[in-house]
Amino acid sequence: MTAFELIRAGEVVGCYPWPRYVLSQAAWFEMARALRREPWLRFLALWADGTAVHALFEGDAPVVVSVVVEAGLYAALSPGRPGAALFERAVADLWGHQAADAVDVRPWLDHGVWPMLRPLADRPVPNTAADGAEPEVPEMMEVAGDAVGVGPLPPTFSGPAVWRVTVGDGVVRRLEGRFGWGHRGVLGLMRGKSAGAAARLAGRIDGGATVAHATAFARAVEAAAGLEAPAAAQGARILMLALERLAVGLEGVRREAVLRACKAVFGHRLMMDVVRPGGVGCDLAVEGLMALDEMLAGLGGGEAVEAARVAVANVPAGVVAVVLPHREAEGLGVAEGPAGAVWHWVRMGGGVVVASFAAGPEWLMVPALERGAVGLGFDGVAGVAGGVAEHLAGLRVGGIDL
Amino acid sequence: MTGVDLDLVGSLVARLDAEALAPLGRSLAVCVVAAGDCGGCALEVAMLRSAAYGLAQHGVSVLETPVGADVLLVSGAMTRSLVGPVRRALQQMARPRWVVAVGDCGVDGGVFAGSGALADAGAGGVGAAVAVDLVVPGCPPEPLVILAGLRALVAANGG
Repeated sequence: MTAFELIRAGEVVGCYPWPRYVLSQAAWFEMARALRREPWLRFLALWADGTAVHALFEGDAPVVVSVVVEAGLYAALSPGRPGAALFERAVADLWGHQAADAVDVRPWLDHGVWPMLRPLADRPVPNTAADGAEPEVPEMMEVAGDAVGVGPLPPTFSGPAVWRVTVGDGVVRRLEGRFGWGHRGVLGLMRGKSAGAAARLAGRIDGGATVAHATAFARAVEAAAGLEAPAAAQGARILMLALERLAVGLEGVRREAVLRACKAVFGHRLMMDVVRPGGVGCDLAVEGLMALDEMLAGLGGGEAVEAARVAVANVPAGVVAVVLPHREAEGLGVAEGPAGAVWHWVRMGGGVVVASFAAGPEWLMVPALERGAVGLGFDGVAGVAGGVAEHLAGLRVGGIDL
Repeated sequence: MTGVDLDLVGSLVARLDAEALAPLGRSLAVCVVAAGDCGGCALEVAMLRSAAYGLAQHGVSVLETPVGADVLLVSGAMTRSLVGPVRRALQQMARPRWVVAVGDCGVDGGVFAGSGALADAGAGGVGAAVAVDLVVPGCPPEPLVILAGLRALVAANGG
């Protein structure tokens, strides 16, 4: 059977608008093997809850597939999907489920200083060694050459992270990152909160993609509730997403012009907390839209500018928010952020978030950037090395650190 | 800990917006550090450094290292993992030196307060690692508010 056939043979769980299939351990194992032969099924994310591990794929449509963990173990996907490795390490750190035959079993977010081990597990374990302890020195892959460590604080390449650059003959032989320094425990904080309160946290996973995260989360919550946001809210979200993507590509006075216009129209320069489950928290008057269009026209041409102008012209009038009914269900949401698609999964119950996960594009960017750095010129860390710093310039740590 | 005098900030912002700034009597070297944050504050600090605000014209320079810096500008909640690195960064700075906590989560943990990942789950701001001389609240604070905070710091210390 193909991976897709194995998935479709699983038991369907109430996840909307795309289904979640629960596989037996044997079927999951077969799927993991089949993935190696089927590169066309795109792996997007892997996360967990107290009892199961979930993977998000995209074939013709997105699909979530799960396996109940037995004796703390599940079959690793990383042998067939190298991009799964960071997720598997994070699942071990946060939930304590171990990926059998994983390509990499080193910690990723946990540095040994949290008060609880596997803090998102059903029964976290007190970490008696945490008090006053220094973070573990990351164990890095060894390759031939001279190794230079950077971070977690300045000089850094991109946010609080440790990078090790191994150099030989003046070029990078290997680049390896270790994250988790800025891990805030967002997923744990979201649990037990109303969708509205959790949305504020979703919007602060990555401030540079706050609209994308808040929109993906809101769409997931709305899917779980079985109710769409009103058309005016959907139009406003598309506009805000376009403005967010536009702003990231601009510098100086042009970027400042966009941020000021966003403040004038949406009440916040980065448009934080404007997107909420059920709709948006702004009233888009015609004058506001006209002011935005005028600002955009002043920026001149360009694909991102044109996309934003199209979005301005397509915000319908009408109510901007609805009250969502409570439903015990799961939802999946996606929104296009500046660096790529942002996915949120949420399980709602009793009117609050029971479990959730957020996958920004950074999870898959890091391994790609690490591979892509090989061969770059490296002229030392004094003043932060040019080639590597530039190579990592677009990477934002918050999307992974959670 | 001295909070930003909001009236002072308000009047400074008005002045800054209205006219070009007279250069400071002395230049201020700032090292910017992100702790457990979303990167929003860093984006506004980056704006401050861009041609839109021209931080350098206001007598403030940004260093990529704490060595030689007067101010350690820290954004974000203080995570347990970053307590040691932040303290060591400060130790590399000669006195007189100041710590500025930027953003609501740098002040008291903000939306992240209560997380076990923070150095102090109750008050998870920058103060959980190092003594803070000035806080600049906001989520994130706008560039001019950050600049006003830096200038207020210089003024308060006879710069």
